[in-house]
Amino acid sequence: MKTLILSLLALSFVASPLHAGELYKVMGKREGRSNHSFMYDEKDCKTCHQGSPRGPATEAACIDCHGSYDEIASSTQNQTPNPHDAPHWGADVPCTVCHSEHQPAKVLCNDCHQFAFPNFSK
Amino acid sequence: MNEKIKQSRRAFLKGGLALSAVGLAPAVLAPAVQAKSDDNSAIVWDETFEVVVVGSGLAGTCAAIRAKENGAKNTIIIEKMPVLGGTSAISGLNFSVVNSHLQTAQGIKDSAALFAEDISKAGGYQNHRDLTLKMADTTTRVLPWAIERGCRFHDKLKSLGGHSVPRTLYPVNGGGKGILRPLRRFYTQDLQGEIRRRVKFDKLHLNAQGEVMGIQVREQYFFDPNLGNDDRENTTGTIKHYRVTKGVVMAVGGYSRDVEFRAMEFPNIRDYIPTTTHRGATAGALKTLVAAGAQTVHLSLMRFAFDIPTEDLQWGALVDPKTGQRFISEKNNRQVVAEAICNIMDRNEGRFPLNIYDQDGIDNFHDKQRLHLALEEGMMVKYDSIEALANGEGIDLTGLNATLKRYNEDALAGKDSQFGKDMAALKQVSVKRAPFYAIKARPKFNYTQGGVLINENAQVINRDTAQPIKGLYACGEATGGLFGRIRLTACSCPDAFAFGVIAGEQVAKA
Repeated sequence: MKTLILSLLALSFVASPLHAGELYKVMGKREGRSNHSFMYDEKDCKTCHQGSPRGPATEAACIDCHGSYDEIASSTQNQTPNPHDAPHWGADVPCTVCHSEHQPAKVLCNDCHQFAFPNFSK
Repeated sequence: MNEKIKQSRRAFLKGGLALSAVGLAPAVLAPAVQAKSDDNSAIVWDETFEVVVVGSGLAGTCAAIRAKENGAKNTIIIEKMPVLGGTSAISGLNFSVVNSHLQTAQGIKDSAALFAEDISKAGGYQNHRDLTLKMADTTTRVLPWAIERGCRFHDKLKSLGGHSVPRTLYPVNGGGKGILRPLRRFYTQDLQGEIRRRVKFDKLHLNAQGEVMGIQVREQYFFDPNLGNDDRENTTGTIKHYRVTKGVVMAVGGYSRDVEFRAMEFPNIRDYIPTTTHRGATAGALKTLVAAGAQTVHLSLMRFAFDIPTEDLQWGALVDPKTGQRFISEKNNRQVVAEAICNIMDRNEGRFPLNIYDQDGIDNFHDKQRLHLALEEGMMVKYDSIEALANGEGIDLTGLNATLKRYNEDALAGKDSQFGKDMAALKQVSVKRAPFYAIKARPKFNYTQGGVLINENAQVINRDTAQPIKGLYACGEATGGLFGRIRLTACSCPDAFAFGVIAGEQVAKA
């Protein structure tokens, strides 16, 4: 599974003009990311919210499907700068610091820098 | 994962929609109930530690390592943020050191007294000079200690403004990679030390004698940068009580991101003034130390940094975009320039003034590394003509032309007829040879000199008794008084190193 996602992911940078991951209404007022639509279709909250559904999602859930921090970092190693391997922290920034499922997201780097990350889903 | 979900997910991914975003948000949490009990006999301790270090920046990491190296067995670092390292991780961590191997090799004569005098002079002699001297003296033994634990520095000394001699080392690949990550690796791998992130320090538990018994924390704390005051409004996390047998080291950093606290201490520094410190640099921990009786010092002193070194402001003309006019000598110290900018911005609807250079000015920059960073990231923009620059940056052209005409005549004459800048020393560098460059002069809130008062053993001083609070230590930016009105450049790193190491050694002895 991980390998599949990572290879598709690598492919999507070259081949896909599609910008998935945009926010859309999933249940009532609740918004979610279009790349996770299959989970919303199945009303599947527990894959991410492994504790209480009202509690925060665990990064372990992200890693289950998308791969470890090191794998993610190497999948984007051709990007300059590599958002998943900043010199400050290495591949050690929890996913949800930058990525956000139900609300707009903001890249940590750009607290100080002004990097363009065209593939980032705000 | 059940088979059905696996299949549907795979089918979905085959559709080619897989993307890099791992989109997950901390969801809305049920409010935690705050523990109100101040009766320590009623506290049920969840865990016991010999030493708890609060904060995972440079000072805290050094303290935890040194505590373990000196025999404290059960030592833990707690960090409220999801990422480690605080402001240290995003700092250049220029390390000024007395009698380093590089100074010895180059035959540079230096001393702790000279370093302390440089700091005191920059700070208007408003600093606690015994603490400054202790820090300066300690750098000599800390540098080889740090190198042995994996820190990597370039084999060159920086010669920086305000330092009598070249004494500043700088890490390979910046502070996060060159210093903090190797130290953390040493702590977690070689020393098997523990770090817990998303654990928020709430308050100290003191006994009837005012001695530290333990702390209250919240585990699974989700810091929220969107809250006006995270310390007060954030209700996430589960309350736990940690008993502490040797001591608590508060390495909790400064408070420059705390806009509410800032507005109380510095009313003329408005919310549009940016910050270079990390998201979590709020005043919450400082307030809990005050509540525990700690003496504070210099809370109204702060430091600014620009996108380029202050020394390189002098090579161009600093103008207000609204009028195109200069308003101060660009050769002033950072504090004076920054305060003038804050004043100007009150009058021009919060627009940043701009520093304007020609090619000669750019060629004279002393810090090419930061110049190139500014150009690469688009903070500094290059233009073919003054007209294009004024147009691109929204500066009043008539005013700007008049300003530059006078500026260039003054440069030739070697005398600034408006603000007395020593233009003779600028080798007749003007603003007339294309291409031209513009960069916003953003005074960024960079450091807070204030904090709690400590003694030479990094013990926090009680304001009523003027004696150390038993079991309570502090180090790094959380402490105040070492620097005075203006903190000399490249001195927060030696402070964090020196007093981090001292705090660790002292708490282990307790």
